[in-house]
Amino acid sequence: MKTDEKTDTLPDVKTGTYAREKGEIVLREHKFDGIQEYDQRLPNWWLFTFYMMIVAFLAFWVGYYNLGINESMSDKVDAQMAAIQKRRDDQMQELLATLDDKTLMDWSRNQDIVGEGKSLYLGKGTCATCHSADLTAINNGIPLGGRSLADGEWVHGGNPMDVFRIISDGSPPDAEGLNGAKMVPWKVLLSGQEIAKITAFLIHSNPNDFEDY
Amino acid sequence: MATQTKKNSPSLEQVTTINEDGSRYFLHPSDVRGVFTSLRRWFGYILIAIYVALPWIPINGYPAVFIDLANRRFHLFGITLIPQDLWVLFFGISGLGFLLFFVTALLGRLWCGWACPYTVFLEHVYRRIERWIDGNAPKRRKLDAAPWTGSKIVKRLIKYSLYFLVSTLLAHVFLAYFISIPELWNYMALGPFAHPFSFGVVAFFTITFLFCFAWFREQFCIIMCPYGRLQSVLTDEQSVVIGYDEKRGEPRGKGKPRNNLGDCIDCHRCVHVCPTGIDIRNGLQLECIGCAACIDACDQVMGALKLPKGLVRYDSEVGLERKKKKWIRPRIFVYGILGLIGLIAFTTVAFFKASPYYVNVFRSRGVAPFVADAESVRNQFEFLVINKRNQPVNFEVVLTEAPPGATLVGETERQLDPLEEEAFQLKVVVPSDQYAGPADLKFAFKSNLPGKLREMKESFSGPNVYYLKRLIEGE
Repeated sequence: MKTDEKTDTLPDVKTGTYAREKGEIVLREHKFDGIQEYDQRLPNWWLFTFYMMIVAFLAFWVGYYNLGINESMSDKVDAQMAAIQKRRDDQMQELLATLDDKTLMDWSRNQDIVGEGKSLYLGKGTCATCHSADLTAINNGIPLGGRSLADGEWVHGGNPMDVFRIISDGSPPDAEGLNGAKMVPWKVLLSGQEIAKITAFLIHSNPNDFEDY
Repeated sequence: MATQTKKNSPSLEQVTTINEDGSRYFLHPSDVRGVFTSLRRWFGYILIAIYVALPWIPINGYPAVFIDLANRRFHLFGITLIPQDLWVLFFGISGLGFLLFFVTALLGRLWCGWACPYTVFLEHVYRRIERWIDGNAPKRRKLDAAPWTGSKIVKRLIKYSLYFLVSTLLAHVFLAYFISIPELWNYMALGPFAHPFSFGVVAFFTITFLFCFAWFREQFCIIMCPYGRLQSVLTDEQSVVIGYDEKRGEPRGKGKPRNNLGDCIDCHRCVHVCPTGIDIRNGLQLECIGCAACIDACDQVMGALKLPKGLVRYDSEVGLERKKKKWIRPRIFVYGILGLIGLIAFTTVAFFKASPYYVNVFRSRGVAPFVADAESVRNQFEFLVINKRNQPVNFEVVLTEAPPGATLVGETERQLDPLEEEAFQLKVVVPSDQYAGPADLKFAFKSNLPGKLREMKESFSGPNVYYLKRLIEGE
């Protein structure tokens, strides 16, 4: 074994209180692979940050988990989602307060609204996926998942407002559906205005079915 | 403030800047002149100039470095990256990391002493201000210990005002990297309450700079810096570090007849100039930031004594022991090659991403892959284009490879405002009588901006040709 000159010149090092009392360099008791650690005093600023972290932890722990002073991240997300839902519900309520069969009939005679309804039907609303672009629910001879919207039959009620409600809320809970497939509530994806425009487009496309309103 | 207790000579057992009771021993390094000090100062000024200048230099219409978090566009030396490109930073950052390892294995803590922003600001800005206001090391020590007289208060006020001024300037430049100079000017004109978050960032960095450079100083390098903690595994006995030539210097000692003594006259100049408070004669220590101040200090003394310079010098452990030096070792290759791989991958990818716009094309989801009837076979594709330049750009999507009779239906020409992104859909239509089965497609994106023509591969899908024929005849 080669001896290291530098360590040979060090003063004797002792462990524990004996060394401390004698004013000698203190080593920690443990020893691994012949290596020992000095037991020197940590810098005060470092200890300060350490104690501050303990204080901060307690403050956060008490604040967040015991007193509920601060909202947690998931609470914040939940609150925001609830606010969005409330706004949507409010908008829907506001719309329903004024919307009736007559309004929908008026809208179905407005070419602009019908045009918007058609592009929603084909595009964002994805209605055409199940009911086909020509409303027959048949694409190239293959029947799709939805009911035909061009056969004059309105299974869940034929008022303009019934059509609106079916799109908005989906099939009634007790409905059997077509081959077991039921309409889902579209109000989660579309606004009330958009649903009303799609309804106007459907009324416009089936002029004979809604003559009485 | 730290209490000033009388210290013995620095030892290997204790950190000089921490007193027995854990309080701070505030260092006042002596002035030093020499080759390395001058070179380092000039190098530091150049680095500071680069730091301040980068947000002002426009390349391709944007500042040289502009991390536009608000728009999520990252402008680096004329290349604009979008979040979709950020994976290349893995190669860039790891490449730079290994390059740092490479330099460390070769030349020790060259980074810390010469290029680290912390050292550059501390040594070449804040310590210069302190030297200018408070005088040299003995004067500074005396002033620290002096009672609070009028002149001390005035000096402290001037010093900390200058510190504050510099800190706030540096913090504003820092913010400019994220919001650009014109926007920074605009924010400043509107006052702190118009943009409280940005103001908070500047305030935070000002306070941090003040705290670090006025008081914390070498404590960061000694105790907190992660790079400093890696030193002992990155270097070996062949790495060139700052070392004391024991063979020549020992036995050290004062005294006129030097027959039994080495060249070290034990003048402690190397200790007094050290910014981390170590004695380099104890060998390489974790506190050493490789600033070379002790080399200049010792060379000055050696020069005055008409002895050869270099008692303390840049040399490796084996070099100081007069053994054979080796530059080439396995770790040099490992770090060097890994660094090169990272940087080459980064520059190559960045070069390809350097186009003035981003395009992507994919098959529309949520619809059937194709629609076929008596008239035609149709495929729908979605396009995403992002303009990365500060000027409007005109695009045209064309088919460069397509089955016979194929046409692109939809609005193929688009205009995008600066930094605008647009998603749109186009259909590829093949008349049924010309349809000959699925085929390869290639879209090309032409624009009025200089740069490579971008091409993207897709495929045209459709039914079996005979099935389509039967379907049409059946109708």
